[in-house]
Amino acid sequence: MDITAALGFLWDYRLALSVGLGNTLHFTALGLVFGLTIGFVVSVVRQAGHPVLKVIVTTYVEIFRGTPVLIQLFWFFFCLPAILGVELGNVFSTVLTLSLYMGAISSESFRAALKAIGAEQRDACVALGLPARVSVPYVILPQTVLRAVPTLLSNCVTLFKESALVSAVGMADLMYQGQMIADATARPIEILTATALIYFVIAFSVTRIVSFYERGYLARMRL
Amino acid sequence: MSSSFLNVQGLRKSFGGHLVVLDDINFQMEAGERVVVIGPSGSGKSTLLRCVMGLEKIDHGRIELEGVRYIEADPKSTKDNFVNIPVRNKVGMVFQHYTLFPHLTVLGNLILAPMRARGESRSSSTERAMQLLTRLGLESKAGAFPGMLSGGQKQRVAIARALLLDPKIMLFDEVTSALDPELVTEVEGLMLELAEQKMSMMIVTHDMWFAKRIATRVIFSADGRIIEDAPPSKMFTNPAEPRTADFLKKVLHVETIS
Amino acid sequence: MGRYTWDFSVIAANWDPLMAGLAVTLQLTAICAVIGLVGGFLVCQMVMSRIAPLRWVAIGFIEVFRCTPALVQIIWIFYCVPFFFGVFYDPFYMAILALGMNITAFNAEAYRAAIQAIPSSHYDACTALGLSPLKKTLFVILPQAVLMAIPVLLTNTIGLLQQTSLVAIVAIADLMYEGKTLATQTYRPIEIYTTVAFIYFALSVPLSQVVGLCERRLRSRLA
Repeated sequence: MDITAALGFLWDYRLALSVGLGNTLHFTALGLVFGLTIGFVVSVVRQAGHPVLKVIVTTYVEIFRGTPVLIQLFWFFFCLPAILGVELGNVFSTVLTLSLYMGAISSESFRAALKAIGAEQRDACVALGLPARVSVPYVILPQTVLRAVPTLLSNCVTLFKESALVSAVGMADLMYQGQMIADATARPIEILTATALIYFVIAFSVTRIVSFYERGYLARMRL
Repeated sequence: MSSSFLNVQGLRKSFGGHLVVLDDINFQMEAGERVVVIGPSGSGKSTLLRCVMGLEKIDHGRIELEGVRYIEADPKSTKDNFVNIPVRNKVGMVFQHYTLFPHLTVLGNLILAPMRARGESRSSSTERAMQLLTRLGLESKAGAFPGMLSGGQKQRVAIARALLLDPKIMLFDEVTSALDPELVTEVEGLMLELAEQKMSMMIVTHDMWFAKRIATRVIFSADGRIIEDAPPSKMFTNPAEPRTADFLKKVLHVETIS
Repeated sequence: MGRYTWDFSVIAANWDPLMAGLAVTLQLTAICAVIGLVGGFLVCQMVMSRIAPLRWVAIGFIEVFRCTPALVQIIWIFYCVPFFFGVFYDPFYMAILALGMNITAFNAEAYRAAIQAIPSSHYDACTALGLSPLKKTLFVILPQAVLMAIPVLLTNTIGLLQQTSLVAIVAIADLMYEGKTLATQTYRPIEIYTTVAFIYFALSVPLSQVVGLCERRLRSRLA
């Protein structure tokens, strides 16, 4: 295969691919913002909420971790609007699914980080006479976030990769654009490899940041 | 009502209702006393300190400081004691594993409680903290994170953090047990300095030589009870109880120390 | 709400194709799980090998499969393997190839993390006891590594079960595909998709219970 020709061919489709990438990043970013918020709230509820609330959020987490994202997408695209009897809009359904999925997986990361703050740190707060209004925002929360960052970043990579599934419900993300061009031009090798490479470069960079952070920042603090 | 400085009355503590670690402890100490608690592992020494600090839910009993009850078993609650927080805040405690906040600098660790819990201004608490750190020879470490310090430095910072709150009494729970031998002296030296300043202290330690040096009173506890309570000169040379003698023989490999 | 009338008789009427799909899903999961357990260990050995080129190949393999979406991997393999190697296998085998390599990469990381968690004092103890390198690996390192890796390996396997649903996109008649087909044929997507989701969920939950159990037992055993 001629590399120059392949690159030239890809260059012709740069616009379509970048539109796809833009959509992928757009869906992922919205899913991240809403998902992380849901995840944090859920983890706090599971740690210290009302028993009934605990059952509800635990069920939510189990359902979203225990079913394929693909079926979640199908369900929110085809079933929820019919049950509610309202049109939800494709973007809304996409972002809703990704957010709920991200909320479920990130709540586990937050929960593990909350648990990892030892009883000794809480003892120290009592011994220093710190009331909850001080210990929570100045001691517990910062340590939770610092500890959770590596797993949360991995969750972000997972969400970014899972977002490729929205192509299956016809959302024009990077995967969808790649497949469309591949089908239209009958040159799947170049396009699909380029698509894979774009995903790889982004996901790989984030995983490098994770290990950099773990080795540098966390090691320095011995968290 | 007793007029003792610290008064522990009928203290009982069990884990899960069966495992009794402290059984009807009655104990008084006067201001300026330095009480060292010794005894075999699992005898409830650390738990006693933790109860005085209010870190454990107690089954029965009450604890008073300067004649004011600040902890009392609450039979209606399975989770919490009755606690008078302003009085409890006059008690300071240092732990075996430093328990510094790893995400804050040394200075940040010191000024967190004065600033956020007691409403002292940043400038005033920083000034006091820097004075204290300078006294301890740690002023160059003010901006360092705890993870960058040696064990001895961490423990001295932990002591400084407690001292900055002007406690009436300090509790030391095996504060040198996690330290390398060569770092023990710097922490013990600081504690001896506090002793000279007549700080009231309760100390749990395995180091009998240090106990003898710092104590005004030594308590031997075993099986959740106080077996013997005597001045160090008597405890280490001529203990009254055979169990005490037995224990000291085991840990010291000699009959007595002088 | 309430406008929709549920009718689960459609499930009973289409029970056979759903079960046939489930059988394909379970076959795919089982075969790839075995590939992943063995392959993961081998790739992990390559990563820790003293021969640099072996290490590079293994690390490259792991990073590529961990940093691209599984959907991209499946589609890429479907389009590009026939092109590069001039062979066209049955789609089922192509799916096994894709999913098997995917889980191999993830399991290799799980094994590696477990082996790295073995304290160096154990290696010293082996030397002090005069154990040969082979005996050391066989009797001290391997059993501990597998034991410690079990929770993550099982979690990866649950992930695999859900990832198999992606093969529906390349028209392999698994549970997801049968569900999709029936949803269009019967005009009853809500009942069908809900049932399909429930089946995946019912398969995942016991597995995740086992993970929790393993973690608790390991913690008490290795504490």
